[in-house]
Amino acid sequence: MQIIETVETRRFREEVRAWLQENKPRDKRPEDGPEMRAFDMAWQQRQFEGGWAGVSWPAAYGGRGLALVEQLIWHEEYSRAGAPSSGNMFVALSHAGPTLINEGSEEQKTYHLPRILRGEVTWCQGFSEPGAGSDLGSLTTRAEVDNDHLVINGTKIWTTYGPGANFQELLVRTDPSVAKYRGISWVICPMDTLGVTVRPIRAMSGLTHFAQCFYDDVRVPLANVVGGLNNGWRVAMTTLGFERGTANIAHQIELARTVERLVEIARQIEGPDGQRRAIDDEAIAAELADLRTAVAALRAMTALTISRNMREAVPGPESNLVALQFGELIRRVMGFALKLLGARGLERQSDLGEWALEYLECFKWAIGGGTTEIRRNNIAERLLGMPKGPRP
Amino acid sequence: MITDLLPSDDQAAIRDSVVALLSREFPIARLHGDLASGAGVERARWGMFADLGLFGLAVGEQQGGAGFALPEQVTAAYELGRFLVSPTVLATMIAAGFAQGEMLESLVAGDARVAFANPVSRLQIHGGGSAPVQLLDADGADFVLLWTDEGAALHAAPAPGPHVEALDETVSLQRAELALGGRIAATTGPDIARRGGLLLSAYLVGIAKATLEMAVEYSKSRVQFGQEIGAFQAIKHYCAEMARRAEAATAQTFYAALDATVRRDEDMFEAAAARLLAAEAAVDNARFNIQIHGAMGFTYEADAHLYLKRALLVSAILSDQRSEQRRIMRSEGLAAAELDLSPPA
Repeated sequence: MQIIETVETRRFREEVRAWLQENKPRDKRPEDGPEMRAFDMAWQQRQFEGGWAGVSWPAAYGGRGLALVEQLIWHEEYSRAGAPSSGNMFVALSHAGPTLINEGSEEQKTYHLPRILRGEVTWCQGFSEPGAGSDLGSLTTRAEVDNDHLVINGTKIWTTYGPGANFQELLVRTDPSVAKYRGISWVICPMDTLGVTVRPIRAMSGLTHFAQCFYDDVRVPLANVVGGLNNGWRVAMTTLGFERGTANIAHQIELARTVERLVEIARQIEGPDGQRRAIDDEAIAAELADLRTAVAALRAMTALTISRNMREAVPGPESNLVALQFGELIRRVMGFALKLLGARGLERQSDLGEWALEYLECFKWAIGGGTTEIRRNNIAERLLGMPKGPRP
Repeated sequence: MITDLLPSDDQAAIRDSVVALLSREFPIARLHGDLASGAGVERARWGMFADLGLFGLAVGEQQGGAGFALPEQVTAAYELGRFLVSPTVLATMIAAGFAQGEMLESLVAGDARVAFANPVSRLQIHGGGSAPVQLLDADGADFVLLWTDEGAALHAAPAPGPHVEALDETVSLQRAELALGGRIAATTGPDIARRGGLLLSAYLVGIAKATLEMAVEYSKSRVQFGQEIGAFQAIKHYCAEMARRAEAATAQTFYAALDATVRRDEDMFEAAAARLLAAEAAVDNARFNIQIHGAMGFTYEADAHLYLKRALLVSAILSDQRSEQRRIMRSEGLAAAELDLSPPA
């Protein structure tokens, strides 16, 4: 238990703050479609030109190569400045890039990493399948070796930012004869390869941020396999570890801002008695206090998780705790928002209309990247050491 | 504020020495014995806490202390909670934070004992008159401690009334009328409330962690339908939620302890959030521990009820849910949480 910021890191924080203030996009990020993707790529390019791309990536591949404390400060200031989320760049920056840095060949790294940092390409993830969601290990998309190529057949689903992506981190079954976690490979799939079809999926919010992908005799060079043939499960688990790490800093700061927006709304709108402001209602104030408290906990849990990661290279099962807290909390926050807004929350075109969209979108946080139920299983079995349940 | 919330080498050493003493001299089994109520065992071995340096942890070296700070006290308080040690140990640790002169010396040396005086209605800490209070494990205590957001005060232990039958039978409870003007030592401002509240939070977090471990252990040994009950998802998900609550309360309490060491303003946000999370984690985990133990958990003979009763008691020492929520809403909240922190040297 100690504060690890110093006068030097404080100076660094001020430098970051000033740059973000000066350079963050002024325009509102488009909600959907190719305009949104172009916006995300342009913002990445701006960060690259400013020397702020890939704060955790090695300088040899065009990254900034900052120490961990400085990375954390960057992420904190980034979110506090209200800079837009990495969006279409997310998989490339937070999954594919770090995986290539850890597991990729020299050729893979020198080709892909600079293109990602310059904001020239976007990536998507191809893990889940219609028949392999929580039970990801049972995936059936096949890849057969044909000389120096893999020939891929099958389908992937829930591919976030799939529409428009240039590359995909794809999990395929390369050896069906061995135990299910053993015969999987992690492959870089260029999305413009013949035989790849991307069909956008409309979510309950109306947005089409994700897609189903179909592979019909798709030929990908064997050189695109990352981390060796049939090693894909291990490589993929490393990738999921990244998702549960520092990405939480942005979530937590954004959620804090959301709760403060609700406090502000409660100060302005009429309360249920028709006389006082909503915030003067005891039950509303108590719920807002509990939401502030839960966000504080999320912030501290993120700090505790990061403290562990400072000592251990690979994130442990504890990271499920903070993910669980976030998935539960954001739904509670949005559920309360709609109750607070009452009839106003039903209008998607009004000045408070964004809440309806955010409410509908928040369900994804308890499903994507591992449902809250799977996370509870992981906590019980991997962190608490409870006996494994029946696995049919 | 970038923090490392895991124990430093010093904190780990403090933790280990506290655990060594508590597991040797203060096993939970003592609470089933005749000496349980009124901190019988703790009083008989009070010098051991002093020898360990517990009361002087955050007292300067020139005054006979170890020269550590709140995070080290929190480390110790967490272990005190795991062993359900009498709240008088916490009260004495907190009192050493503002007692002076001979009084401080006697606290650090283990020659004097402080009990909590828990007000049963709102009072003016710096005012006159008298107020009804509950005295907790005050049998033979020298001083009593209480605080509000306006400040903290130490009084000579008042003449206690008869013992009141208490929800937590392992802590003695007496009513007394406290003459507010008779304080021996006092502070103004919320600093002691913040620090004291955090030690109570750490103690509650210890309860949350101990009950989580008990529940998990039991689920691995109890067999029904031909398998350990811990293999069932219903039990797993209870335990996962217990782990999440304990983690949330631990993290926030540790974070708030660091915040309190550099905070200059009156803001109570971090400490109040810690107290709410710690109380929720301790009470809920103690409840679920009873449920997971089934009928055995409902018995007087088992340990499970001891943790629930202590969690309820400590949650209600100088605190209640609505007051903490009000502190949080009086604050600017998380967005402004770091505005008035001293830049670290």
